[in-house]
Amino acid sequence: MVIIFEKKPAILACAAVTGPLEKRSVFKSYFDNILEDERFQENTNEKGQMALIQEACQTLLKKADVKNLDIDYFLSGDLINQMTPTNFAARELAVSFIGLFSACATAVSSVIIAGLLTELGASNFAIAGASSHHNATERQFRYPVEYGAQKPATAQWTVTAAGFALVGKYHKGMPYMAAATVGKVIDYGQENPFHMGGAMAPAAYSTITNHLKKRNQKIRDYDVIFTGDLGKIGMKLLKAMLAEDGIKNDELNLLRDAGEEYFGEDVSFQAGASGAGCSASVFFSYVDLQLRTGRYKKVLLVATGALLSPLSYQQGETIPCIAHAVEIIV
Amino acid sequence: MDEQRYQTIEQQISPKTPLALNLLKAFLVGGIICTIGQAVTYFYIIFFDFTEQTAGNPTVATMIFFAMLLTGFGLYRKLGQFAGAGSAVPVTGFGNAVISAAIEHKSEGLVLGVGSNMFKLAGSVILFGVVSAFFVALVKLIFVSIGVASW
Amino acid sequence: MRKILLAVCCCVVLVGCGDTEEKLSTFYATHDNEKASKIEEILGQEKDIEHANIIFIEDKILVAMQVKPWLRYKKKKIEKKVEEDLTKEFPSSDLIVSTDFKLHWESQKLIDKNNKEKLNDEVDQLKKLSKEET
Repeated sequence: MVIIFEKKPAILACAAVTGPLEKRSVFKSYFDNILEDERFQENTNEKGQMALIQEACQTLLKKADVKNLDIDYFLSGDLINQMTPTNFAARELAVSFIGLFSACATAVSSVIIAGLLTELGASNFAIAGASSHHNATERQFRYPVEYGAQKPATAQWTVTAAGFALVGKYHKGMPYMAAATVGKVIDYGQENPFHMGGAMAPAAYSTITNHLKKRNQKIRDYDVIFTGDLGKIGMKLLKAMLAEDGIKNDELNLLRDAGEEYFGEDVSFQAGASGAGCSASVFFSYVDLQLRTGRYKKVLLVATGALLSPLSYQQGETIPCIAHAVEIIV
Repeated sequence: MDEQRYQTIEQQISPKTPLALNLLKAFLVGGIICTIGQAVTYFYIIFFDFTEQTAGNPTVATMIFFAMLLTGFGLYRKLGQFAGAGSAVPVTGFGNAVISAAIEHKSEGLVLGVGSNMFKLAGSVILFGVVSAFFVALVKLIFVSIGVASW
Repeated sequence: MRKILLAVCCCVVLVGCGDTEEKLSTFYATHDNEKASKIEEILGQEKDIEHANIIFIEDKILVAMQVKPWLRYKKKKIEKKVEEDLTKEFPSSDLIVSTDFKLHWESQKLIDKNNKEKLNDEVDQLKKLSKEET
């Protein structure tokens, strides 16, 4: 479903805050703050994630020079059961809150909803974004952090990061949302939770091709199409799928993936980064800066998410995935 | 693109697990861990009053102590990434499974957290170990009753 | 670097292929030549044993054997066989036969000490150890 934003809701400001391990990221100079302690001196990982979200939101408000009281909506989500870190952070933020779950695609789905509220005139300022925390996510979805399991080369590393955007009314010179595609759930029968890229690539393919078709655009109309966390293998698969449709290399080279590039060539992170915070922290720091400095004029941000749970995997289910896209022009 | 075609492409593009190299690494690391265990056994036999028969218990306890140290310092995880089954199969791997789960669930308290979740990973090992031991003993009992084997 | 490693590996392997030493070590606290020669004969003929420590004291005979490496799987069987053979020959003696490494090590220490006092207590202690189950 493609939405055209007539009133062009703008991205007024962005902020990204990460944990200490993300110092090894190639994007580290673009993050607003890298915390020393991934638990933020709290005694549980979940509380640490809540503190991470609060820190990111406070940084965003400071950067935008907007007061807490002026915020109309807080739209966010994370990967933890019942999204408790986000819920608890929303309690501290004391703003009208809608919790959203799109797994790792929440960064874009929240921005789309914020755009719609702004378009409707119901919101002047809305905070939209997502976060993830490595230890809290590993514990829930996989094994205890200190367990010596051997991860395959297709596995990805969930980052400890939070990224938020302030969505508001159109301002000349600011990047604005021109259109968005809300993705459908796509399931190509992939079952391996250590190979998320392989499960998510078809969803990214479906959303990108739908968006381009409905908008009557080609890939080369964009400066870049940035996917969220397909990782090294997932990106190869997406490019292979597009190549089968006849897309040539010059257009395929316009595709970039935040997860694949997050840690550069560091092999300890196998196929790359993932997590709701991966797309959020890269889109709302690096990509935002490129838009503001004029290096990019038109981008398509496509965040991808895997809609599984540890229980569904144990019960032998496949991994359905989703991808949401937002077209940002400056 | 249909599902079948995608599965084919996915199989082609996804990197295969390097089986030969993994086997070699597991063999070497597992062997080294067992050698260390044997050294610990000899230590107990020579310096204390244990015989080969009785040195098994303190050896296992010592190996689990080593696993606890390595797990607590975050080193066993790195060893596991390198060795795979070589570090997971020996008793140190069992210790690592229990200890890592205990560390993880400390935040929920001792009873509901550590107590209920400590054997999350190792529970299957214990259950199936005991059940298979029962069946093996039953088979041996049958063989002994027939007269094919002796105790 | 590789050449040095290869040389070291060769040395290690060759050390393992060392020549066989003296098969029996004995300590006779109580002198009984007839029993001594008989037991040496029996154990000398036993092909599966690499080395045996024999201690004679009063009416106790301690035989601590070390089985050949690849036959370790049959340790219990060999121990039983030797015990049967020796019981046939010396029905009146208090026999302690074991293939356990601990007994072999301790008996080697006793033989090297070559001291008759407290030997009886030490041998009793070793007998108790060999009976332990866990």
